[in-house]
Amino acid sequence: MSTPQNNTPRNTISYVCDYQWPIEVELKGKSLIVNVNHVGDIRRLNDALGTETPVQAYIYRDAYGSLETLDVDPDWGDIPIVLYLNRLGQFRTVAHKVEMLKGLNVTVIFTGEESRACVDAQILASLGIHSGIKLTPDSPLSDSVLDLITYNFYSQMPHADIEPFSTMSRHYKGENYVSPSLLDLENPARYLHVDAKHRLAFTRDDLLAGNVLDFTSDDATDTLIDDAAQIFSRRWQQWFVESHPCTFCPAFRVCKGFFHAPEKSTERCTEVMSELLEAIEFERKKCENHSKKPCQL
Amino acid sequence: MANILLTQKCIRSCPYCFARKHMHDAPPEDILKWEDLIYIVDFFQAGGDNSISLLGGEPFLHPEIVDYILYIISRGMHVTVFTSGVVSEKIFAQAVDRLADVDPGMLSFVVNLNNPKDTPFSENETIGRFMATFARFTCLSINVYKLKFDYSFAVAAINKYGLQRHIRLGLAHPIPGKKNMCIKPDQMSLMATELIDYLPTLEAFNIRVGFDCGVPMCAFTDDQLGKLFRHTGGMMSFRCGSAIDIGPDMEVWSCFPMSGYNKKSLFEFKNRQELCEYFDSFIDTVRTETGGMYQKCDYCDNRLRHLCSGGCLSHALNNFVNEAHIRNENVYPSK
Repeated sequence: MSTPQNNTPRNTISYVCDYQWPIEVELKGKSLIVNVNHVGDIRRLNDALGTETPVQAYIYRDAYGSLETLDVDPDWGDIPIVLYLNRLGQFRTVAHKVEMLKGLNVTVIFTGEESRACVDAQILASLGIHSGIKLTPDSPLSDSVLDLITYNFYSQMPHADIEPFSTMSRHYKGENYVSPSLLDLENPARYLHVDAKHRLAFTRDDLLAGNVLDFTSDDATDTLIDDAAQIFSRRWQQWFVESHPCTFCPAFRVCKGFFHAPEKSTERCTEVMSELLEAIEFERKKCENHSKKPCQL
Repeated sequence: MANILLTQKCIRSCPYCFARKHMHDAPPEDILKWEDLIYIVDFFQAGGDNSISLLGGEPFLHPEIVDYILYIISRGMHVTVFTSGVVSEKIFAQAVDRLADVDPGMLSFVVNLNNPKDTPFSENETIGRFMATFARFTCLSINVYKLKFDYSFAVAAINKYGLQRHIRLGLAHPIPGKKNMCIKPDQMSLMATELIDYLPTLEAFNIRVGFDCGVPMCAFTDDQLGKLFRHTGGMMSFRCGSAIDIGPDMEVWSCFPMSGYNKKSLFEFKNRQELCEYFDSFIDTVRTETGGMYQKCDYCDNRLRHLCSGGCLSHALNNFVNEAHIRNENVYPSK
């Protein structure tokens, strides 16, 4: 899922919400990202919201479902949709959906067993379908993840983006800090998570835990959001103040302690995220080398 | 076009099998993984190929072969599957369900058919079921491994099942250092005569044959070459080059008879061009050292003019298997 840069103007903030309350009315006119419970809701809700309430993405999660069994609606058209699914399923059953998926604006993120998810994401990406895997702090970061990183950045054939690596690569500018949590819409310059009581937080976890901002979506102003975002975006600096072990890791720039857990060895995450950083740097330099101004003819 | 071995297991034990040594040496649990398939497709598509062959062992022993076929087709490449036609009920049902409607321009089956008289009844039934179901995708391949070879079973199968009217004719080659049934160098001319004598029957049924590699031009007289030229429309070659076979473990070698020689990992090559150049150069080196299958090949005008390579390299290599290593190391099997 592509997200704008950190210096994106504040008026592009999007509200991330669940479709469990009348958002059509209460968030009317705001830019939204909507978590839906049923794929069938997507088109209906999109029609109801119309152009007045722009939706950046509809997100559907099924922890046990597969793309094989999911009803893909050809009428989704250009509606941006992110599907979090356990696995691809049997390719022979998915094959007839490939051409349809290529024509839609769908990103498929696999959440199942890591090595299977990596293969599934690679299959879809190689067919030109935006895909990815869901990394969590508990991810084992097996060799499959390294293989997927290698495929995403070094493959000689063009393929679709693979998340979270592509989004991290787009956001990384050489001096800033990014992390796999970008995929969870944790980007204070871009997203605010909102619940039915209109409470706001910069992460879904904070919202669910009640760590909310001291203003609501009703009284949020650009200044208030901007000030809160500045504070939130400097959270990582506290890790350095406390001399956290993760801050000595060469890959902290692309992790921000995402994989940190008490009493957990950092050997593996250091290895994998260092590879990722190297790949992202490689990609960045490649883009820099191709940044000549086009000849005006 | 690359040949990908989905598995090294096979359910048949053909007397002429020139892949036997390779199959014997391979671990039975070895099957091609998804990520390796994607790597191979990327590798060859980036090199400009638009076609891939799947073989084995018996490729239909791979539990995901139907998925792999559909994936390669989804990548816009043509797939040719070399099979015995002996397919389990489960995989056959999947194939019928998912492949029967595929564009025949994107999928071909080459069924390697043995004489039904030498094949168990249940196998014949299974093969017949496969050919009947996938007739429009299927052409036959037969391996000539002895003199007085009976070609009639192939004609009968094509007519019975309505298969494509083309036979891919392969000569069984020796496995250097091993014993398998094959046409010996001194039997080539007789084999050629038998084939040419059978051509009118094939032509009467509008069936054409095409040669696989390894046949020397001098097996045919000039008169026979003329008949063959007319039969094939000039589409005949007596050259021998690297075929590029890739195993489930991503090992790559030039062709089956050469599977004991100079294996590499596909990951050692940057691109298809580098891979092909490497094995072409390897074959050239070996050819220079070994010559052709006959001594007369050394001075043969056809070989010097590159019209003929002097038959399958395995015949020549067979002569050096047991000798002291006094030649270029490439002519001896890898340790």
